[in-house]
Amino acid sequence: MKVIEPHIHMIARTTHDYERMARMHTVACCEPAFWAGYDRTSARAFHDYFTHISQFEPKRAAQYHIQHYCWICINPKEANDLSLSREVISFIPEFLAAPTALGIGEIGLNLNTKNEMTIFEEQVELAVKYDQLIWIHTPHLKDKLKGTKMMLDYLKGHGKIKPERICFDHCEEHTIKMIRDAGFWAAMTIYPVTKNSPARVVDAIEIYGIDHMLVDASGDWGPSDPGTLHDAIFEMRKRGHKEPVIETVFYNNPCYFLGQCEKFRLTPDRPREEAWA
Amino acid sequence: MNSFNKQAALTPPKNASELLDIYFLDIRSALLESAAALDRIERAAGGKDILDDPRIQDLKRACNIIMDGKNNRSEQILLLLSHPLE
Repeated sequence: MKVIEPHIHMIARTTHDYERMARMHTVACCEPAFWAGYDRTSARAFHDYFTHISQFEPKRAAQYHIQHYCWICINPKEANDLSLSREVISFIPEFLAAPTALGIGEIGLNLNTKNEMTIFEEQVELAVKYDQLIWIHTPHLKDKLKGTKMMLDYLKGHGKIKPERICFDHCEEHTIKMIRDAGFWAAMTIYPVTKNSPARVVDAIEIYGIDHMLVDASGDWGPSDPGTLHDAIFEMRKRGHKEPVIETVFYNNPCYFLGQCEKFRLTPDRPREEAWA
Repeated sequence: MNSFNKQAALTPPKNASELLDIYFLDIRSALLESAAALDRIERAAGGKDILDDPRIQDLKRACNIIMDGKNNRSEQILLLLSHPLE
């Protein structure tokens, strides 16, 4: 069975992780732009980072026959500095032209501040202007419910947004329904302690069904592991779910969403009308 | 709105008894870890006063949801632990 990792920060992972992912049948991974663990001191640092994830990581992944894609943006944790954020936004179009750039992401909110929301809105406008897919980061812990609602309300009232082309990530039990009811994609992140466990992800799939649902491991430098995505696959097998259903969640669904960008080179095994029937 | 109807829930292939067989030890372990962590905190210096900490109070409310909640216990706990919507 082929697996696509829709969200992982390979810049923070070792080459050994690529090797492990390849052995676990991961055929593609996607790296949204995010915080570096410290606040960057200039826009130039973002330029270097975007160069890294759009040029170096695809080459490193290719050694293990994994396709590496990226998303470009100013992340919400550093979006409180409006001046710096706008300087970064000014050169995002240059990177959207990269052959492996899938869209704008992971934009969103961190502490739900006014400035974060302003930069979120400005990057949504950029995505509309350049007809880009959007990958959204929802806040952590206590802030998740309110932040998710703030972004959802904005997008629902926007007028030019196509929900089918937007995915909200880091969803949990209290945010999945509102996102999917509005027609957006919902991704669940398996991340020890602060997000979902493999078992809770499979619970949500059982409760809400498989359409418009993605699962990722979001591995970075924190306590995380690319293998947790495959733990969720094993969890579905342990519960007796059929292989075509599992393959749809972990391979076909990412193809259906990411394949809306013509640069994404993998194709689903089945049309989604059949897979979701 | 997308053109696809939302799929119905995915019926778990195993019945409740089979699932309890699979998950009983996991649940037992999680409860024991929670109980031991609270004991650890309580027996440390200042342990009696910390039981009034709002986080501990939230955890106690979460325990009540586990005992009394119906069907969507995890969602109810997440809502309990969220900033309120204004």
